[in-house]
Amino acid sequence: MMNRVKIFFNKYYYLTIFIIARNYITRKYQDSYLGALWTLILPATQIAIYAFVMPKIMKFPSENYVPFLISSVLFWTFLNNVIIASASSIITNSATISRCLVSKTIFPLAELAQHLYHFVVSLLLGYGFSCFAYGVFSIKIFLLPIIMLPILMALAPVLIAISFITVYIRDFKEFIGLVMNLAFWATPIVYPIEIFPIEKQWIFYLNPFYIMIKPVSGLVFSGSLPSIEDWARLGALIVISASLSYWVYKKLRRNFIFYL
Amino acid sequence: MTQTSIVLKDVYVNGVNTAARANGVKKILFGGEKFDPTSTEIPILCGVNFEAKHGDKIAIIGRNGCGKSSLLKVISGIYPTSSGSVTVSGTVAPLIEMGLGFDPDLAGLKNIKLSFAYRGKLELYSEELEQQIIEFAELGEKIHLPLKSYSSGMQARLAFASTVFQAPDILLLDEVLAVGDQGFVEKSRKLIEKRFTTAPISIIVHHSIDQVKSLCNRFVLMDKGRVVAEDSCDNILKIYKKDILRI
Repeated sequence: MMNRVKIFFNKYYYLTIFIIARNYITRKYQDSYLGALWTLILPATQIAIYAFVMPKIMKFPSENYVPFLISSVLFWTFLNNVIIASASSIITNSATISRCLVSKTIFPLAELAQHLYHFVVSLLLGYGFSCFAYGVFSIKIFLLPIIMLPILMALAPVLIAISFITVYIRDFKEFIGLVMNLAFWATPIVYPIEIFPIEKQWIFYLNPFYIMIKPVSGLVFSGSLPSIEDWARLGALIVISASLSYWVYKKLRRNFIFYL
Repeated sequence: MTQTSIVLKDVYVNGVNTAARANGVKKILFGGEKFDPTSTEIPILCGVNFEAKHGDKIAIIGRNGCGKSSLLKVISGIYPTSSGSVTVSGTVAPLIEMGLGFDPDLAGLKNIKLSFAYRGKLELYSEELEQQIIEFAELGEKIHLPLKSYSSGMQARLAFASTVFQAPDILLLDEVLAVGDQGFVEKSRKLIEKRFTTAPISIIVHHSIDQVKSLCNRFVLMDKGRVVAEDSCDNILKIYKKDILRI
C-alpha cells in the first residue's frame, strides 16, 4: 500500500498528468478557428437560454439572474464534463495501459487538469462580463484557488473510481450521463435555493454537487466566503469520496488489465 | 546491493472474455439463466517456470499467440498472476510495442516526451537525449510536424528510437526488429546489440530464431502458454520445426 501512496508524492507523476492534459488541450483546439473560445461559447449559449426561459417558468425575480447563472452554470459545466470524460478516460487509453506499466490514475486526473483549464478560461471571461455588465467584482475572487482546492480533493478520487468502474461495467458511462442529467435539475444551478422554504433547504445539503457548487457560486456571484459549515461539508465529502474510491480501487485494480 | 534477477514459479495467468461475460450478465438479467463467471476465463499462461540471472541474454521463440508477449507482461508487472509467484529484482523497461501512446495529431517532438511519460521514464528525459533520438530516427526538421503527416517508416523509426534510448537493468523487447527500411533495421540491430551488452538481463521475443541467435546466450521455446524447452539454439530450432511447426 505504501508504494501506491508514495506515487502521489512523486513530482514526475504530476508532470506526466500535466503533459497529457496539455496534449489533450493542444489537440482539441489545434485545427479550430475559434479555439478555446468554444469553452465559453457553449455555456454562454446555455446561460442565455436559461436567462430567457427560467424566470418565466419558475416565476422568480430575474434581477441579477445572469451573474447568478454565470457563477453556477460554468462550474456545473466543468463538473459535468470532467465526470463524463473521466468515465471513458482509461478505456480510450487501453492500448497504452496494456503495454506499459503506467499508473492508471493519471488518465482521469489528466482529464481533471484539462477541464480545470477550460473552467478557468470560461470563468475569466464570464466573470469579466459579470463585472463589466453587473458590477459584481469583489477582491475576494482571488481566494477562489483556496476554495477550489478541497473541491478538487473531493473530486479527484471520485473520477478515479468512475474511470475504474467503467472498465468493468461499460454501461456505467451511460448511467453517469443519466445521473448528471438528473443532478442538474436536482441542484440549485439555474434556480436559486431561496425559492424553496428555509425549512426544506437542508435537503440540498445532502447533494454532493451542491456542496461543491455553493462555495464557488457564492464567491463568484456575491463575493461571499464559505461558512464554517460549508468547509465542514467539503471536508466530509473529501473523506467519503477518498474512502469509497480507495475501496473501489482496491477491489478492481487486480484483474483490471483483462477487461480493457 | 541485490543482483538483478527474475524468478517465475508455476505461474498461471487467466484473462477474461469480456464479450462472453457481458452476454452472461444479460442472460441472468433477461433470461433467468444460470451463469458461471469462470466459464469466461481464457488461459494465457499455464504453469510457467522461468529464471533469469545477471548476464543472461534470452531469446523466447514460439508461434503467434503462444504466450511470449504475455510472459514479458508478467515480468514487467503489467499482467497479474492467477496463481504462482513472480520475483523481479531490478528496473524493468518493457518495449512491448512500437509507437506506444503516440498521438497522431501531435508533433513528433511532443510524442517523444509523451512516450517517456507513459513509460514512467520522465526523469531520464533531457534535451540531449531528445536530440539523440531525433538524430537516430533521421527525422531532422520534420520532428516539428504532426505525426499523422509521417510515412509509416518514419513513424516506426521515431517509435523505435524513442523507446530504446533507456538504460534499464532488465530490457524486454517484443518483436522490435521489424521496423523501417533495411538500412534502419541494420542500424536498430546494432543499437540493440549495444543495449544487450550493457543491460544485466535482456530478453527478446521473436517468432524467428534466425533474427536473434547472434544476440543471445539462452534460447527458450514456448507453446500454448507453456515453456516447452530450453536448449542450445540449434536444438531449439529442431524442436520448434519438428514438434510445433511440424515441418
